[in-house]
Amino acid sequence: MSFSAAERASPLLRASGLVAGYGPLQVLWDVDLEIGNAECVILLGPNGAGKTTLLKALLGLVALWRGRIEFRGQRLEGQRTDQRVRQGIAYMSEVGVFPNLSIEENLKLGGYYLPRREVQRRAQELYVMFPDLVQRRGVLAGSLSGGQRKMLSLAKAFMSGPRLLVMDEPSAGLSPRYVKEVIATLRQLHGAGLAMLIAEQNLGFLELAGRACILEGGRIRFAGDRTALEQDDILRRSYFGLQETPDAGRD
Amino acid sequence: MPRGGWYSVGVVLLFALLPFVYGNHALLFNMMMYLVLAQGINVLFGFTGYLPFGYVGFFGAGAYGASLAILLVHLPPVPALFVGAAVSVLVALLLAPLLRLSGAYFAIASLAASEVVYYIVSNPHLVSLTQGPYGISLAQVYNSGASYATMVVVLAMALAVVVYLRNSHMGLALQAIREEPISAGFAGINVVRERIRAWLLSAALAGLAGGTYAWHVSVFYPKSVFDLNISVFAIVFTLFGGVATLVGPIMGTLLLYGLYNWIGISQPEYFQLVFGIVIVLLVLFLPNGLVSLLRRVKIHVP
Repeated sequence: MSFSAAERASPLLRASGLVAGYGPLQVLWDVDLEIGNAECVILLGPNGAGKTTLLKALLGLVALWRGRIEFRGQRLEGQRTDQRVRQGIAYMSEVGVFPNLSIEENLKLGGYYLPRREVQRRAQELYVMFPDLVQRRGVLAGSLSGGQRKMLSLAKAFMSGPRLLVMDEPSAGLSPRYVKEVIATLRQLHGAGLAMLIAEQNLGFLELAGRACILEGGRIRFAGDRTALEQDDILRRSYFGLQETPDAGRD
Repeated sequence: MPRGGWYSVGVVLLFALLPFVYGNHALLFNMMMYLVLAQGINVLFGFTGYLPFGYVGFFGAGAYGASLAILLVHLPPVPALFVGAAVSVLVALLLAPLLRLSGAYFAIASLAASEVVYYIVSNPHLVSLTQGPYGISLAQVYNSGASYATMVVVLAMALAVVVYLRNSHMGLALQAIREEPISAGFAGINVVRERIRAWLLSAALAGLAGGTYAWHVSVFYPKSVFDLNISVFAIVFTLFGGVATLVGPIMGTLLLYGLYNWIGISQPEYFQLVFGIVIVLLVLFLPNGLVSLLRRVKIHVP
């Protein structure tokens, strides 16, 4: 992936002072978030911390009360979800796929707004990355297992040729084996220059991330390098349990 | 030929040629009319999930739009049909905010909206414009052969629309919206715009059918073109065959409308019974229509 000089200078996504909520309930309190080009940021935090709300606010599913979002130098606040997606943000929800449509139709929808030639080129790459999905293209997505569905929704997100892949709990409902497979696939995509924002509780995803943000009670409690997070005693205790090193016990 | 294209050509040829060997042209004409309406319902319900109980409102609006273009502006019938379709599309545009509702709320609100159109058209105060409750007579342009041929063309258009939706980007986008509107937005689909396009397309088909019907019968009353039974028939035929396919609504219409004409006219009391049983069995055992039987034995359904 190549970047223009301006894109290299400024971050891919910069959100500042985000305030949002549902009805009278305020969920996000002045949240700042930056994602660089080809950077992977993991968003940690307990249930109810506002992770999903933050992602939804970025995608335009929750109205912002205040704050600004810039993506590749463009302001996003006034745009509809589909317009934001067309700027290069792919969102992988927990649902992820259309169960009553076939694998092939799901993939086509992934590349819905791309020119046909680009879709064909991407379909070729997909063949290499997700061979078993492509082989079973006529099957309804609803008949796939949870893990296969997750891979399909990844493939679908990849079809749109995004600059930033936003994911809400990619590990949800997956067996440890599939979590590893998802992580391996994400590492491949990240290696190819795709920036990511992953909201997760599963610390296995931490190894992908260059940077981590911790959201608590709708406020950013920590933002910094992964290594800094791993060395911070208090955070380590609350997020990694009482382990000596965060790596122990994994794998 | 796109998938389903040959089926469509076959059905259109069938209705173009049958009048030469089968005498009951009224039956053939009505069957075509219901084929068009069923495909119109299919465009909206099958591809977006909105079930329009008031669909007959567009049919009536098309019938009146075309008739008034003939009576007041003295247009020839065929251009008048397009005026009728334009009137239906205009009504649909006015009613587009209904799409904010979903499920049963939408179904009932669309029914109420069609009643509103009916009461406006049949209002005695508008006699000078719509002839109010006294109905329309188009005796001066009556031509059963030409109007039959026109309905064949309208049928071809309706089938072409569904073949297009079955094979195109837009159809895929609409099905995604039907499944999961929010996820469809994530695919970069402008959900509101695509829904409105399907709504207008569906209204235009009903408008063309209504205008052609008005020309064919040439004498009708507001009650007969805003008859709720027209909506119910078209919906039942569509669901019976199976939505979001080309052949589902065709099968449903041919079988059930055939059944209606076989026993419904000679013994209406039994027909209600049989029709009711068929609907109950359908809901219980084949909620996805006849085409789901074909799918079960691995026959591809266009």
